[in-house]
Amino acid sequence: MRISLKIIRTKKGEEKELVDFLSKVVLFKKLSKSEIRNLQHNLYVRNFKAGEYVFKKKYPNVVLYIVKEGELHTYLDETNKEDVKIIQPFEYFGEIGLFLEEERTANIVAKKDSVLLALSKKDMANYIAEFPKAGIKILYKLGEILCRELINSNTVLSRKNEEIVELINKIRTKEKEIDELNNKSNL
Amino acid sequence: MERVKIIRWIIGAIAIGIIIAGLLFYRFIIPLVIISFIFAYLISPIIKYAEIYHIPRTISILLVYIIILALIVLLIYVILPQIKNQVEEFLKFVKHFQETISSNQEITFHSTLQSIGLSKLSQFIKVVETKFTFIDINKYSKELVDKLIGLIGKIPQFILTSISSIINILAFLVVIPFVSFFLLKDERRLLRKFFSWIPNRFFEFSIYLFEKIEESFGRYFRAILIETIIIWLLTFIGLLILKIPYALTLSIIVGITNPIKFFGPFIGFIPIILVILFGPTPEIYIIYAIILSLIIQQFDSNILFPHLVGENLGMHPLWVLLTVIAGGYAFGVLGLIFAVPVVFLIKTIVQVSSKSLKKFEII
Repeated sequence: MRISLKIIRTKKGEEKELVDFLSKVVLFKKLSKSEIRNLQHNLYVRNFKAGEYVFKKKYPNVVLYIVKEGELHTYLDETNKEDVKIIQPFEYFGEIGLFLEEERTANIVAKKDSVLLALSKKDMANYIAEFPKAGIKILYKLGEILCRELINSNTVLSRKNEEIVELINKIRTKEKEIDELNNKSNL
Repeated sequence: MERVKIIRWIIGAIAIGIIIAGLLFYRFIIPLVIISFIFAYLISPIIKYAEIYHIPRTISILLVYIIILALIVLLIYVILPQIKNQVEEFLKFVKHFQETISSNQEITFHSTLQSIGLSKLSQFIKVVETKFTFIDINKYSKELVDKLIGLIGKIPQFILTSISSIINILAFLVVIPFVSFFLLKDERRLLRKFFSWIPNRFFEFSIYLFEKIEESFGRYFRAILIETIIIWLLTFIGLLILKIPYALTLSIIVGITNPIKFFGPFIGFIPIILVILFGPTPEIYIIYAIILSLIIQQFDSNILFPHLVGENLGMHPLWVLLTVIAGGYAFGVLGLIFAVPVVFLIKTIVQVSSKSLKKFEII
């Protein structure tokens, strides 16, 4: 009896810890405690050893991962293995899988022993059907984040575009200068 | 190193031994668990739908059970006596038919044809008989009728053997709801437990495989169930309109046999023809019944089934035909009904696996 009570207490403790953790993740910040409690029933807890691949580039996009513990690094090129981004606790990746059946765009490897929470597209759809209000909050937040990323990439793109135009102009002036110099030398 | 290897081998052997012993010990329960899984699988969408309205799983499962129980009670008290009456009448009619044949030895193929208004056909056959003396239609038709009577005579024996299996089924009926209840109640926890055992390397692959199978096979399996009920209802209404006797019994037979691809609708249709031929209904109703069956079949194959499944099976008609025949040979009636779904399930698993195993670089 005492043992079973202890198990229940540990389970409750674990559940509370998970709810507290999830409420600090950007995607779920606007959810109420009960909504998060319902969400955590849809999550799979996965433990990764340091150096273990979470997924590789071009794998099918199946689940969204939220980093609970540890650290992961992202790289695009298998041969180069240059870090594009380091993913820390409370961050997430693979959100494209919730919307599209696209391939993974990067390789993700655990840098340290890590604990990830996985959410599949179908579980997410079930959660939205069951708790539409909470689902809308998550989707709004995701929309907001994706819009920001789109604005950021647009800004970067337009800056790069300006740089390219500037470079082209420079090349043209240099070409003119070369032409002029050529003409002079011919004369 | 060698010692570690030996220990591993021993542990592996013990594990396999335990699994085999476990399978042997639970071998009688395995079919029961499979049926419980199927039952839970069929009910699961209703429970999920109830969850949208925040009805706790336990309550929604119990509600579904109460509805099923109510339907069974309805079946026992209202529909079953009707079926019993209809079957009894039908048997009486068969017996009467048998007696007329045995008492009136003079009854011949030609007199039967004349009695059902096909005297011209009878005349034509007589001409053929006179020209080709080695053909004895009367002998052939008598042999056929004798075989038919022999088959009908076996019916009571079949019912008797069925009673013992009915008792077994009743024992099953008590246990299955219990197993299904826990499967349904803890569905998510069980699924999470199952996926937690899968190594990281295969985790995404298994989720992908599970979701894809659920998408195509789940929809197909539930579609068959809904299709059976709709076809049964449509046939029942059609037979009532045509005022063909034993409408309920006949429509149930049509509903049950309908999932058997290709042959089902014809098998289900034979009793209707027999009832019209030997019953009080005018023979012209055979044509009406054929039209009714054609309309229902066309509606089923062109509108209902594609709408329910959302796509076609992706199995060549010849493959479906051979699967049904093979299923019938191997497992009898159950094989006829379940061969196509099982082959379709295996085909889906193989198809999805072969594509995704490469994508996940497992092979």
